[in-house]
Amino acid sequence: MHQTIDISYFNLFLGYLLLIIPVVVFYHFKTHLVKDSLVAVLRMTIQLFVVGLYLEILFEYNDAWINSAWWLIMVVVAAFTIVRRASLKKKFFLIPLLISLAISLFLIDLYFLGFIIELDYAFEARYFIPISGILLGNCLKTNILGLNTFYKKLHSEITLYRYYLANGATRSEALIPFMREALRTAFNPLIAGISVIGLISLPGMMTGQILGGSSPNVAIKYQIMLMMAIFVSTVVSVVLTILIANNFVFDKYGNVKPGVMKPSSTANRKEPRKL
Amino acid sequence: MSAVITEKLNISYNNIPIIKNFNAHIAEGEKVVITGDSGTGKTTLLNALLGFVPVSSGKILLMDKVLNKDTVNELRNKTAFLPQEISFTIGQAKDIFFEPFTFRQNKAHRPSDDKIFEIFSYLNLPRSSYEKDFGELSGGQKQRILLASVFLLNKELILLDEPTKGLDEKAIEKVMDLFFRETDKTIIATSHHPKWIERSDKQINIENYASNN
Repeated sequence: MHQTIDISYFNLFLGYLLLIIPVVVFYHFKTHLVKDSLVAVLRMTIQLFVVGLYLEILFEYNDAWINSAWWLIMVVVAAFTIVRRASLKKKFFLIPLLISLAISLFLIDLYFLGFIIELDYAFEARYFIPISGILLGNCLKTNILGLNTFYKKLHSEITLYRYYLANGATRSEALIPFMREALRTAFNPLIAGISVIGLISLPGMMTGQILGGSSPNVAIKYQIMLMMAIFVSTVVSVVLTILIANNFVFDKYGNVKPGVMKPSSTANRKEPRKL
Repeated sequence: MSAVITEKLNISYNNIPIIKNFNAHIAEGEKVVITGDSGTGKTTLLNALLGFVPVSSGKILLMDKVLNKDTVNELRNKTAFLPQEISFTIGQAKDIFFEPFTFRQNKAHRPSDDKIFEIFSYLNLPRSSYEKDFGELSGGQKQRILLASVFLLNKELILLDEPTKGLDEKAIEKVMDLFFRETDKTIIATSHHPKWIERSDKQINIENYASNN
């Protein structure tokens, strides 16, 4: 296997110099984006160096407990992020999210690493950590979209929900149209993304593997299986979160408890670009 | 059997009292109209009867059963309800119309295509409206589609919040004929319409129970 060529710190610096171009453009057009851009790049740099350090340590020890602890931290951070970005209240959603992310991620990790890649050691850090990370990143996006749509629609169309309840629906039956909307909103982008993969862009992991010395043939198989894993884990986590959360969100009369959604919607806030 | 009994009912919204000491006795098969200026609590009352709005004190009995968290689902199986605010943005007209008949409780009353279009033509609804997005329809069309659905559900207690809203006189006559000839069904409607009031067996003016009295 070829080794990827390392980038020297001097060359890394040369790379950063490219930043001058967007900064000049933003400055010229008075976009007020210069500070944001520089802060974003700084944050990225610090975060990635810290992660690099973590991963070095994780890979060196390669211990099931340490890896699982890291996995758990990723799940907790993801749950907090989803609650915040989907403008939901922690009180109702944090525990359902933790449970649903942990279950969906655990099952798919097990299936993917254990049965498809057939790792001898399922907690092998080189596979376990990055794969879980990619799956969680996707769960993050779909859950934010799905949960936000579900509870926002439920809030704005509460009479539709009541119309169904008062006309003989069980709570689950009355929620079907909302689940439908949430799934459509959350998964349309993912399905569209799957259908053009390889045409418009080479996916990040595949590119990384090829740069890392894998043959394209191996890289595409990993990519295909990864897309399956992403698809399944995101669907399971969105549906499971909503089903578990609904035990906290509704009272015994099937009414939404007050204060489920945060009053000011922060969901329209700019989302970090997918890289 | 009584369809609805309320005893010393008090309802508040955000700690502001809306309805005070409301006592009513509605017999099975009775057609009752609830009147009163807007904002006096007509919609709140219907919502309370269905368990959507909590009562501060007092009791509600539907079909001789006390409405509480244990009975609410069973009682809602016996009701049909037209809400006042029906500008739903989810789904096509046919989804909104047909969805209630997909609920397990209502499967027995699932109408045939013939039956659907019979009531559509009775209510002057063009067949094409069935295929449109619900949001695209006019207010009156939305109203008639929901009224058709509510009617075909064949429930013993029917609650209609402003059933004549957005309808012309001809359509109102047809809707009234449809519902008022169902002698065994109890119908509680909120309305200002003189003819609806005239054809009803009983009128309750909710303003008599408004909290500022």
